[in-house]
Amino acid sequence: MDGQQHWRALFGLLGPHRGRVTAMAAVLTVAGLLPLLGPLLIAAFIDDAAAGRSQSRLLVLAGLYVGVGIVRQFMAVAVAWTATDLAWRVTNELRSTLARHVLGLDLAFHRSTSPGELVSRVDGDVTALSEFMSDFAARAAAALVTLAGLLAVVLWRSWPVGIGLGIYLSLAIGTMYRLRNWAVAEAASEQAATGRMLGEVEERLTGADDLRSNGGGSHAVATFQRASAAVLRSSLARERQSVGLWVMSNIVFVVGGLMVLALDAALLRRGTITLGTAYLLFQYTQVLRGPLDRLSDETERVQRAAGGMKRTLELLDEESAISNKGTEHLPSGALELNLDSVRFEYADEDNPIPVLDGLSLSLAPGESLGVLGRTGAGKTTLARLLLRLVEPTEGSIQLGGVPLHEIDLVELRYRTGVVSQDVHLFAASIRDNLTLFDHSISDDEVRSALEALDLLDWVEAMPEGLNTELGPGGSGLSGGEGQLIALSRLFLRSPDFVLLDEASSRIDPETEARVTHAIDRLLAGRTAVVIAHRLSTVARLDEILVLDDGRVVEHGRTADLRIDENSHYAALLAVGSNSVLDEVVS
Amino acid sequence: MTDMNNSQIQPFRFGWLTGTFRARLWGLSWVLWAAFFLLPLWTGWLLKLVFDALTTDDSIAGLLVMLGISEAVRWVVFAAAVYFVVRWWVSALTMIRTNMLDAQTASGGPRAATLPDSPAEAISRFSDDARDTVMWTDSWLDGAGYLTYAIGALMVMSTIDVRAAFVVLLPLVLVTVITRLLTPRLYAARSADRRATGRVTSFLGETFSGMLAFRLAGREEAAINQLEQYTAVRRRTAVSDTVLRQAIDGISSSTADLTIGLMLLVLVPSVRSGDLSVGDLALFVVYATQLGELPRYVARIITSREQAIVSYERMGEMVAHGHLADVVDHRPVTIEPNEPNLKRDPDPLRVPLERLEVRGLTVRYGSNGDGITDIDLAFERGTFNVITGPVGSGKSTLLRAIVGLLPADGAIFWNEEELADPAAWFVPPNAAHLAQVPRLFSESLTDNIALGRDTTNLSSVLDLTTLSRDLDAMPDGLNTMVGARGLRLSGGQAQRVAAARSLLTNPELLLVDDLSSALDVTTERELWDRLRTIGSTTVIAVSQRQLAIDRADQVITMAEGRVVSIVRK
Repeated sequence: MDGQQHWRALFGLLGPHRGRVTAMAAVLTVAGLLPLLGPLLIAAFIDDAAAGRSQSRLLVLAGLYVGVGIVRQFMAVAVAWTATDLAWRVTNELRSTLARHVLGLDLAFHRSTSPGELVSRVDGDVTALSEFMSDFAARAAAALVTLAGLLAVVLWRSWPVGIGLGIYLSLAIGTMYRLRNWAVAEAASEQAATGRMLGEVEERLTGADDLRSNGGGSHAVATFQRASAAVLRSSLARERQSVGLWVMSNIVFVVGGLMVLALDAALLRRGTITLGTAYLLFQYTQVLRGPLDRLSDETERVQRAAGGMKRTLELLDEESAISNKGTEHLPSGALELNLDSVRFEYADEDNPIPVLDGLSLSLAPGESLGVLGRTGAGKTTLARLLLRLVEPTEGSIQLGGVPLHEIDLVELRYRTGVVSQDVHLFAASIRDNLTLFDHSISDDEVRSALEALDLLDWVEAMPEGLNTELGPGGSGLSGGEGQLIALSRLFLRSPDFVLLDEASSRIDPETEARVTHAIDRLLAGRTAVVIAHRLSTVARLDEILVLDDGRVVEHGRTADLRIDENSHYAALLAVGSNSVLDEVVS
Repeated sequence: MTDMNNSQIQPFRFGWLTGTFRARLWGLSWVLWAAFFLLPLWTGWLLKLVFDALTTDDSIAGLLVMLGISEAVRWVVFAAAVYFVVRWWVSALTMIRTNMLDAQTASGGPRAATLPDSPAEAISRFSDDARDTVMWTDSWLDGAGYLTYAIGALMVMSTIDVRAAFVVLLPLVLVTVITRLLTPRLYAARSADRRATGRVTSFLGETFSGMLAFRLAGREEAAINQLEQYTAVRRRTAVSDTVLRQAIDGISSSTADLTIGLMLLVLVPSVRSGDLSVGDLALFVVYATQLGELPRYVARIITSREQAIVSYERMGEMVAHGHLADVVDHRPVTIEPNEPNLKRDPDPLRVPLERLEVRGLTVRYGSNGDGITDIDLAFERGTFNVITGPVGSGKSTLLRAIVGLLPADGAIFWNEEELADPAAWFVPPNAAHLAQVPRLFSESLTDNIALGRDTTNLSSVLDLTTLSRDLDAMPDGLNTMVGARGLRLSGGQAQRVAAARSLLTNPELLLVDDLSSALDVTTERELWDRLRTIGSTTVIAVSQRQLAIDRADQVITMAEGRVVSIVRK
């Protein structure tokens, strides 16, 4: 990536905030010019004293000095206010953009990146940017104003010194500008090391129970320290660069100060300047030194921000393997499903293993299909293919007669619905868990969806109805109740194709009755594929497909298979138990 | 947080413990920072000589060379100081983080603690809060360096003009008073900002882990809208925090201007009489400018103390209740390049199990809100015990209570000896617990199974759990990285890895919470049979499968948190 790209991207973010940027520029201009007044007053003080002016005149100059100091501080607060507000407005927009982008990335990306690391990239890196803008960039802009004013004053006092100082300063600033990317790579790798370390911590905390009961705590601590050792290595590398940068900026300054003093001596000897002006010229090199020293102290911040911007742009460059280029529309009503010799293998391995092979089937609109098979038979992969979370390696899948990848993705998501075994619940109200934070859905709509599934009484029996708050990860609800939430989520949208990954176990009888009833309501009039774990569910579906080792070993109408005594399904029925489903199938 | 806990935070003691964690590095940092701050005293004096020479038309070439050399020395001192400070800084951070991680993952013992909030939220305690407390200790270096400079500068000034030196001190008093008045508000603003940040990060964490829920429902925009509500709140809290901080900082640095102004007022007579040279004036301005920054350093120490108190409090919630000082406990940290990696602690000694007995075990709130009441059970050595019963009857809660993952009333006896701390006792090789939904970590398969233990027994547990078959298909075999949270493995593989983890030490007691989704029937049957032939492991398994019940020596049926029947064969 070229070095300027991340800075240009950063400025691009300011675009929509022109009004606020202008206001800030005005505040910065005043704040930047104020530091120039002090040395002017002292120079006048020295010259007036040497010229033997009145005591009251000297006292006025000293009093003015105090007044300027007070005004300066009010301006500093004004700068902090405007700059912080602007910085957070801009970066909050960036956070939203990033979060939206990350939500759109494919499963492979989310599998290789922990949520903790993503939080660090979407919030941590961007916060570094925001601190950069509010603390560093504002101060740097004020320093630039100071610089311009300073040149103007010096030119007025002694134009040869002014021209000399101008040439020198442009060289100095050119050097500093060239050094701006001095430690960007080091800062990025320090942040990456920190992100990995924190990602690991998040994972260990999530799995803390497993570590506790398996005596794995000290192992977690040991690997954490290995990750921290990488942080130390990268911090030292980054700090070496920072110190180098600080020294170089100092050399620039000290050389400038010494040159002005030498010039002062020469000009004084010729009598072209007064002692007061000689003092003023030297003092002006100090005026810039304060802010620049502080900016240099914070080059860390610039580097961190540049590293953050770099990583942010990289994240935005990540592309989902699932393209969103489809433009076709689906016919209305229940949708027919066709699979034609579908093969799927994991692409990121050296010798790909087919997970599904030669899978073909047709499901008429409104029909339901139960998929049976033991763990690893390919059921989950089939579900992911149907939802277009992954693409088939070979063959094609059509919904409503349109190949999946040609369907507009938004429409596809709208017209299809899924209830997975692993329902994700949020630490939020039942309402937010149902609407997934979509506040445009009214309570009436939520209630009527619940009513349609006969779940309204269930929700209203909760302590605070729809307002009942769930704990982190949805604690407070059982697995079966999670399924009910997922079924209701689905019903709010009324999709025309439904994929159901039935919960394999762990549902109490009362909840199970509710789930069964809700599923019946949901399946009516919809095309449905059900990854089934219960014979009672399978019996109510139109067709059955048995998978083993990625291949179809049985497919037929439920009614036909029931009477075919050689079928797997008939064998299951003979055992007559729900919980032994996968036993017989295997 | 209650007041009682607040009073336990001793910022100076904790800060001192943070500093002395690497006493040698920290000491060197002190010396070098002091030198770095004292050198400007000398360059200020050289400057006075330069201006005096300019007044009298003497040559200044020699003085300019000396000025240049003094500056160069200062750069070298700075580079060295930074080198030591960074090493100390990262070590201290790692110590604090290690203490929190250790408390969170400890198997019982006095240090163990549980999470106050979600794991994603806890990350801000590992990053921001840890950083703020180390920053607090770090601020002492700056503060002390500056104090040394201030004393030196005042001494030099008073040899030239005592009144000017005295005037310099006046604004400092004013600033200190104003700073003290604003500080409580800063404390409140900082707290609010941290809370707002916590809401943003935990919502982001939940959104990313529940990514599929939003995606498949096409509700990504709703998540973004919710995020925007939280970030807008944080913008406001961040602005209040920054403005207050800047106000305190700003009032402090305005003292430099006030000081110089007051000094000029006092010096008017001596300047007019010629008692004070331009060089003296230049020296005074240089010293006063830097002295005026002293309150800024004092304020930085005060504000970072306030921030550190908030952070100590938040990190205190991560360690055992009432043991706040655990956060800064000196413990082994080996992160320097030449240091050997930290080794895991050895497992406790194996105490062969003859008989396990629980009496009156009661848990009010279990895993899913369902408790257990007054459970009396006994398990004999080498027996296979199955706990069965409907969902929500308390089976998982019972297992988790026995191994100490849930706080429980009642007593547990291991060979007639009552266990004071079950969580510390029920770890390999005495016991292993295989959870219903086990967690894996982004490290190699070997590490996930062995958790740093000796791996001599590895191949036999791979066979036992039929993992060897899966391994053949993986190009990197046992070194395969399983991805974040083990997501590169299939659900069944992940559970078999967890099963291998709990079997590795051939534990005396194995508690298994519903294997049915991990193993197919043949594998499960084989596993139970082989465990029986080994014979020494006592198994307590939650299962609904007939094949498990058929093999059981004791079948315990539970309903509504109570044991309803015990059948021994």
